[in-house]
Amino acid sequence: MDFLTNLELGFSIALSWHNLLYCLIGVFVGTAVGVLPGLGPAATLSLLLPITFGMDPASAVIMLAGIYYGSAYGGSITSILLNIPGEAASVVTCLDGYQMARRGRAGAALGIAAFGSFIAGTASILAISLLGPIMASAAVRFGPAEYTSLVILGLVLVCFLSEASMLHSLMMVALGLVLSTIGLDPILGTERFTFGSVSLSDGINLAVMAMGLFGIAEVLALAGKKPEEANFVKQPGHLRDLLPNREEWRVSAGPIGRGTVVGFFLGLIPGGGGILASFASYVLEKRLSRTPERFGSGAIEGVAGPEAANNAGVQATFLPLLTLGIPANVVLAITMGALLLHGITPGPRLMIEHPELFWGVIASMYVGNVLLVLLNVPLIAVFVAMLRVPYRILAPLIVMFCVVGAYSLNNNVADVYMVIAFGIVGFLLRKASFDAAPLVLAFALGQLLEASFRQSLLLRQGSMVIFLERPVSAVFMLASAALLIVPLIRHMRIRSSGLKAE
Amino acid sequence: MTARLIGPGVLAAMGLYVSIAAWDLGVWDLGEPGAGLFPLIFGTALVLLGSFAVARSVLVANAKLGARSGAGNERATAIPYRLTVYLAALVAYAVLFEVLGFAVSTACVFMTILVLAERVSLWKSIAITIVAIAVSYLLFKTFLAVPFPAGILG
Repeated sequence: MDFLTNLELGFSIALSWHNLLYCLIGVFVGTAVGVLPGLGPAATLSLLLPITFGMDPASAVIMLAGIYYGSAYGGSITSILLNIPGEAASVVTCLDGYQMARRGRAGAALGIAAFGSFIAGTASILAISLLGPIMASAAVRFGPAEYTSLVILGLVLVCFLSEASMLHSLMMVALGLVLSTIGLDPILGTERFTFGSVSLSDGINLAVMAMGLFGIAEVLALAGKKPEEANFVKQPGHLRDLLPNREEWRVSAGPIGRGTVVGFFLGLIPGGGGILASFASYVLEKRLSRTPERFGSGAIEGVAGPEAANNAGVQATFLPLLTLGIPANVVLAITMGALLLHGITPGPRLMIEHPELFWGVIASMYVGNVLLVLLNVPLIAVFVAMLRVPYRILAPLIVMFCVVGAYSLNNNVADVYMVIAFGIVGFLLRKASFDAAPLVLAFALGQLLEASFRQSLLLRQGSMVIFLERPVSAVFMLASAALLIVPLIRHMRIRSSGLKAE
Repeated sequence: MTARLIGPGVLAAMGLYVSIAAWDLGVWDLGEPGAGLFPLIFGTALVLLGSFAVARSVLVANAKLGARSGAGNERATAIPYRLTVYLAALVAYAVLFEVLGFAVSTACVFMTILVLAERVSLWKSIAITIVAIAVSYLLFKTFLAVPFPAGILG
């Protein structure tokens, strides 16, 4: 009953007219931010932080939170329509979402992403309300060794999501990790592989890499084919036909449910869980599917599961912030800044000292999910109309979009050079049968892996035993080893039985 | 087949360079991991994986040649015209973006791609270019305050 009373308090705050308006502004701006390349939620929150000075603290967090989870949905729009991932978590959506768009099912992909995110977000918020503080306390017991082994498990999973061979996927993971070392050493501050360039001393920006390897590389790949092969299959005209049909809903139900669970638990882990959520879900669905060969060619499960996992993870990342005062990423650190500016310290006492703020934010996340669906589902027809533009006109627009997006990150022309260089590299990688997805995901996890790996070694004076001493870390390491070794043994057995038959 | 040899070969060479440079950065110093440890581990992984991939491709290619002796050499394929135009336009965009400014460089790239690569009519190309630049300028410069390089117009 106490839980229901708290929720009632929360909804009374969230459904007030001014908070509804702030929530609507937040999800609208967030969706736009997710669609536009280069302008991420962190930069947007930084720009809007001064505006929150004069606002009620609950209203400020409601608006900023809306921008954060709105941007997660916006990132999936460009992933599906243009093969340009807005963030690391949206890379997986490109694999099948874009292929669905090319086959005339863009509306179904966008629709399942919207509804799947809504269902996952709602379930995640309910779980936060019921289980929240207990789960958050367990999650923050993760130390450097657990983070290292979790990221290694994630990188092994990344190898399974690609259609390329395991060997090629491993090479891309290694390349992504090497590229993540460009810039300053995270612990000692030493310059690495910068070649004297000031631009490179900040490292490579993930958005620049993703826009190049996916967006521009796709344009080049289609430029190498006949013009008629580049156009999208005609999309249906009516909204009714654009949305997922009954069969697509039936196939997506399981992935949405499983994605919600995977995303929620991984999202609780501060620092890296959220990125892992979407591709852990993808790999899980590919493994469970009776027709895994469809993945990478437009399987709706490859969109439903990861999008649900991503949104569930995004909602779950608020829990360590609100209950323990630990921001999971830069975006939440800025949100925490907004609270501190109002004299409110997030942490274990927030629920007791400011229950209206805690429960108001939780309730507003539910309201925000509803608003996202109401806002974006009718707009599916508008988004899909973009694909009716002949590709020969869309292509230079995509190029301009990527170049301007890259430049707008740091107002630095070096990013323009990099996005085009990565575009050409991405095209050449495709020609050599390499998949860019493992490279981008490994790059996104590289700095976390290195920092936690080196911290682990420092804790045990250089001994690697730490990864097996700690039970959670040992489980992740053994799981990673099993995932790598079992398919290898199976492959060798098949080869030797094939040789014996000859 | 050539691409499958060159790709892993280039990656293996890159891994070798990274490993050597990482060694110079220092792998272990005063009982603590150095700045070069992580690049060394994954640079070495690239060398090993790339070399294995090259060796495997060569063995497979030799096995196929042995099975089909007398078969012709692999045909080299010319780079398609459209792709060549796109590549040239992209490189020019990067070089000219700051020199000529956003508007002029974007106009040049659009016209090159639309007219030369995609064979869109001249007047249609001009109209598309003007609308695209105007909308982008409004969105990024006016609304988002991105300071585009003015180039020769500034």
